[in-house]
Amino acid sequence: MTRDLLGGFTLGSLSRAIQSRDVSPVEVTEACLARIDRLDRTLNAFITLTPDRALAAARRAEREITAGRPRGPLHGVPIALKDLFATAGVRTTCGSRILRDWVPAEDAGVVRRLHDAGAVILGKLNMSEFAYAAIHSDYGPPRNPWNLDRFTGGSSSGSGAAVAGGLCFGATGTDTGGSIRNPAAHCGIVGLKPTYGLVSRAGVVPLAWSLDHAGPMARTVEDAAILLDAMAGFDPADPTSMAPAPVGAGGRLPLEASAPAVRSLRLGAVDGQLAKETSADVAACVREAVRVLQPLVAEVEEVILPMLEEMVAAWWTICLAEASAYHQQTLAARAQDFGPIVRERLQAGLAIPAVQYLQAQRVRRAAVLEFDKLLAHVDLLVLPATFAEAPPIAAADAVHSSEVLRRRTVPTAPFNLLGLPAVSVPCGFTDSGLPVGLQIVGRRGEDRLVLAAAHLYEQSAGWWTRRPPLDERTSSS
Amino acid sequence: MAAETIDGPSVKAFVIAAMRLAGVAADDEMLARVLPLAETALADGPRLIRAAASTLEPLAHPGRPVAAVHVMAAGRGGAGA
Repeated sequence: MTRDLLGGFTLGSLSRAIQSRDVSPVEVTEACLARIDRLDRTLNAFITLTPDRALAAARRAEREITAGRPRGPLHGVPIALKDLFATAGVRTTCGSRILRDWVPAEDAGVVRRLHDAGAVILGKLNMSEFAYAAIHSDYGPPRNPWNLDRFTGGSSSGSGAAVAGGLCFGATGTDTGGSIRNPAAHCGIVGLKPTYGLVSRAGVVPLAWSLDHAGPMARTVEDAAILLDAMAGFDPADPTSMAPAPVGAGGRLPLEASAPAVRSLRLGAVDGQLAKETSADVAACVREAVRVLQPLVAEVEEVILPMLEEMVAAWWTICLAEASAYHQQTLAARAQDFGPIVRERLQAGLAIPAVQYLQAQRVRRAAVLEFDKLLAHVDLLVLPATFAEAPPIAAADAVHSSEVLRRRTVPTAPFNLLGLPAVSVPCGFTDSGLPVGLQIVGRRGEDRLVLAAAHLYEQSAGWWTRRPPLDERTSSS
Repeated sequence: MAAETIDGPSVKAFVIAAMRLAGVAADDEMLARVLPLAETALADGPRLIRAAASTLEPLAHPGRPVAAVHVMAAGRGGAGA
């Protein structure tokens, strides 16, 4: 290899190089596979690799591009899938022993869209078991490329490790209470939980139907926007699916074109309300990010999130009940095949009364109305994506108290309950050199505006240019 | 973010009954691990009842979720749009 195909490109710049035929999809796919071969024994990001399929897709992309039939910006770009997106003919484990040998007959709707866009799919990524709590011992935890003794966060754990480690140019994730934004923040990449319904969940194994969102994870905001454009769209197989916003409403405009709109925005910064929960170095990074954003927008004011405690309570009730409903039959038949932490949560969820679940849904509606009022006053909310830096690997498997579990969901889960678009974008590093994520939240359907604001911040702050010192660490180990 | 307190023995009896009804065996060792989480979740009940009382709105039909309804109403597309 005479040129740095993996470190030197983002998904966006690689896409342009492929379209101008400066880089071959086959060459870059081979480079990714070689890097996976070298690093994934350490990172443990992949559960299943599909090199033959990837190379076949890369060759097809090369032929089509050479023949003047480009499919769009993902054509020939190597990406990977969280292992709960069904893939025809390729096992889909959900990080579980229960589905260890499940080979779906059909692709998930999102996977079909990514194939149609010409993406090269390298394989299936490690994740928390059924996207719920801990990594199953059959697969072991992925390691954080910024510090191999640290966890990536979850549940889209392998997606975070693979993108941050430069094993692929983007990945899919799912987010029920923070599972895209949490590993994105901990791994120093961008992760978007889109508006509820914007990305189809057909063929995506659920955790909790009314809270689940599928979305992109990538190195930069532009990369995430390119992935989102391919992933989003109406799917009749998902009854909650909706059409993306039309171009006139900012639907697929280049992010730069949205910059003037960002400059007229009012930003609501959530600070004091979460100060007690947030570690000092994370809080300092987020405050500095708000300072960087201040001259880029019309106005910044501090705001309070309404009904925060009630939303966290409603989220836990709904998530526990819906997850247990989905897994009830398997839990009765094969309880011992679940990992202990997931099994305990599923068992606890059986005891949620129907009336409490319905009260939680009523609270959810009341919270939606309160946030409609807040987001009539400010256009975007900014807050930490996590309260603390990535935990040590050993702590990732620990059984935590209910209070610790609840605390972790506070910055992210409310936006799953509300269905609002929320992105985590890198905003600095803690004292121990681990990445911190700034969360930007917008109104329903305004995903493009959220990404535009994140892009403007990202380009001003410049954190995205830093890469984990992975090659030095793995070559000396 | 603490949940409210709740009567422990009542929770234990309720959890055992719920698990038996679901066809899941409940032994003492397992209950010792499950009960703290179930207690915390059930203790949210009173808070949710109070907060729910602030709205008289009907719940959305599950086939037409809140987010999609809202986006359609705002003229930004929607299921089938």
